[in-house]
Amino acid sequence: MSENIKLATWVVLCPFLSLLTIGIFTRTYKKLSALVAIAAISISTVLATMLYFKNLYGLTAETHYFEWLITDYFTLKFGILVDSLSLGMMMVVCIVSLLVHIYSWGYMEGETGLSRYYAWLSLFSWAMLVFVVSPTLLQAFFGWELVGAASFLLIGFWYYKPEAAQAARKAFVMTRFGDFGFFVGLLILLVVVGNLDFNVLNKLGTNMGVSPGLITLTALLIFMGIMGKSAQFPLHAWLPDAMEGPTPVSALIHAATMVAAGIYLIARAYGFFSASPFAMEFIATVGILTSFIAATIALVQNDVKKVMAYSTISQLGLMVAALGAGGYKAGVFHLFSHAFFKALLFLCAGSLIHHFHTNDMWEMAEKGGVRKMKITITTLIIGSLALAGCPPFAGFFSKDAILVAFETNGKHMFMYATLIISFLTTYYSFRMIFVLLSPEPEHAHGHKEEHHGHGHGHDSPANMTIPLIILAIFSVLFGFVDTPLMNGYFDKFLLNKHEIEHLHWSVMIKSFIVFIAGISFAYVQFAGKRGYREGFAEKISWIRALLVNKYYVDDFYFILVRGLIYPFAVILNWIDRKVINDTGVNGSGNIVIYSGRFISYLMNGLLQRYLGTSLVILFILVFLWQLI
Amino acid sequence: MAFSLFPYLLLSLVLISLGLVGILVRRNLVIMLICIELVLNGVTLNLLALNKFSANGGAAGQIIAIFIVALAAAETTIALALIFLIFRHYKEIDAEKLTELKG
Repeated sequence: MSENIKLATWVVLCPFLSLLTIGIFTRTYKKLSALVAIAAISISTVLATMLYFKNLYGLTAETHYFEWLITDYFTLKFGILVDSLSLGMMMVVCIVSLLVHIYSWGYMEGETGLSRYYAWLSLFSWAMLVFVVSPTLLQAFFGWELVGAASFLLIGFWYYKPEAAQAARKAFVMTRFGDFGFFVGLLILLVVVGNLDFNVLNKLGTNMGVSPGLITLTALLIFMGIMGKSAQFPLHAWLPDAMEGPTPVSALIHAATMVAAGIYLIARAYGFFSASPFAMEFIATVGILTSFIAATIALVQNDVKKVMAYSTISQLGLMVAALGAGGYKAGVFHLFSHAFFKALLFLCAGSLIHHFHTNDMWEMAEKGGVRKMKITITTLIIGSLALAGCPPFAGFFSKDAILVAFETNGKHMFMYATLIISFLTTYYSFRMIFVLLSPEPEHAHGHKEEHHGHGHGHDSPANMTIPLIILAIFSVLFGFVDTPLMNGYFDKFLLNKHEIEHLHWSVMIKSFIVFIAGISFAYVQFAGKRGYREGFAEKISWIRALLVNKYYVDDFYFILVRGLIYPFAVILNWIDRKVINDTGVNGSGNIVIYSGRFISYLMNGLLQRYLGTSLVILFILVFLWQLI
Repeated sequence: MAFSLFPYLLLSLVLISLGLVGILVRRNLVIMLICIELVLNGVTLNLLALNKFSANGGAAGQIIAIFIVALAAAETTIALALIFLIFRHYKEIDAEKLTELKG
């Protein structure tokens, strides 16, 4: 085992050990459990950073396999894969996860299930790291499912709230629905190719003698799993509901550990997906469609977390579209930069919710005092600028990379769609900012202090604001890694490409104009006007109805489930109860019970009955013998 | 008066039937033992009669009859001993109350 592999193994193992420790030893000590989890993820982060500095300019794939199941036809393997992509993702996961762990210390203070919470956080981080380092599709599937299970547990952390329990179930069932496709695809590949290693799958298109139709089929099946996990239309409906979980968990889900998995899988199996032009086209189309739909829904959301949730779906759509259109670097770059600023946005939202005890941005503005939470609101603005793609924040450069990818691959339609989406993104994020910043009402002061014991002037505690500041720094500076200022560092790291890409000024200017347009539009409609609740999207009634009802996707699912799946389930239930259970399982049991009861009449210990029975049988035998 | 086989067989049938009915109906172990003796005697009579009328000078039936008499004596001894022991143990020789073997 090489040094790199050893380090990576420990990066993955630490959260797992923390999970075991909390589960077995420190369950009853809340603070201790939290410390164990934070320590474990800190160690992981330190080790990952060491690994990163050892391979500052990327590395070619190093793999270590453990064989698990060996048959004549295939060998199932687990292992550790370290290359530039997994190293980068590992860094992102560790940093975001560590900051979320620390932030939760403040946010979740006084919760009863804190040990459980930190145990599940550890499980979540471990599952994602298992997924990230997996060299085979099978291990990726395992990590994938573990991530799904952990997110189920965390979304439903407040399981006694019916909405939370329902949201958790919805997330689980919906992603599982996609995973069904993933699993079928995986089985087909296992049967046909007999090898699930990514390095084999990525070469499938070239010389393996596998038919293109089969590659397209399996690619689409696996993409179905990605649609579920990365919340692509029409399997996106679980993500906004997942806001019922604790806010730091939302940050983790949206930034690093859950929805990122789908994007990462496309990047990991990029050669495999590229082998099928049709699948790539499909992926790109689904991505851009999702992005547009989610961005429009976000225009009319009033819950700050919902706005962010839809913006996540929209940004994920962009990543998927970029990857589908051939922009490998652009997709991965946006994945990383989005992780930082989306984690930042969610943690800011958490800070606001922690303070105001409401999710509604209008109510927050009504209560007043947002401006006094200096760190929170500053970092929130930074995050929004990054999301909206204002130069020189992280989102600007990564969105730029996506636009360039569309342009160089000749997908001009996609580029213009992305510009429209950017406009919408800027508009809805600054709608939120302007509403939150709206001047305080005069009367609010005296009357608020009565409500709020602790007054309203101060910000959240330091263990919540410090993660915000760190993430804000990342959101400001991360974008520069792909510019000539840093000698095109990201290209060098990820692709081992040494020529420096020049800046694409025409694209940058376009996206900057769109940004200015979006922000001024939002300014005109929302800034400074109290209680003015309608933006341009709400003016036209049918568009408003369409957006408020989220394009009726949830209603469609409701009708589908009620009208089609539920009756079918009733029939299956009847068959299960009456045919399989009563006739099959209980039936055979009943036969034994009744025949046993009948036979036990003969075993009554009465001598004469025995004799009588023997005589009767004797007579019968004699009679039969006579017949023969 | 000519002897024929039929009365012998009839008598033996009556004896066997009476014995069987007695075994099945009476609950007293001693009476049941006596009834077994009745069945045995019926069988012995049957064998002797058949030997006399249809064996053409053979003696197998008579030999078996002697064996049965000897064995019946031994069997009766053992059965009586068992009944004694059962009585000593349970203070009871009613077959209906001795139901330790009930399943």
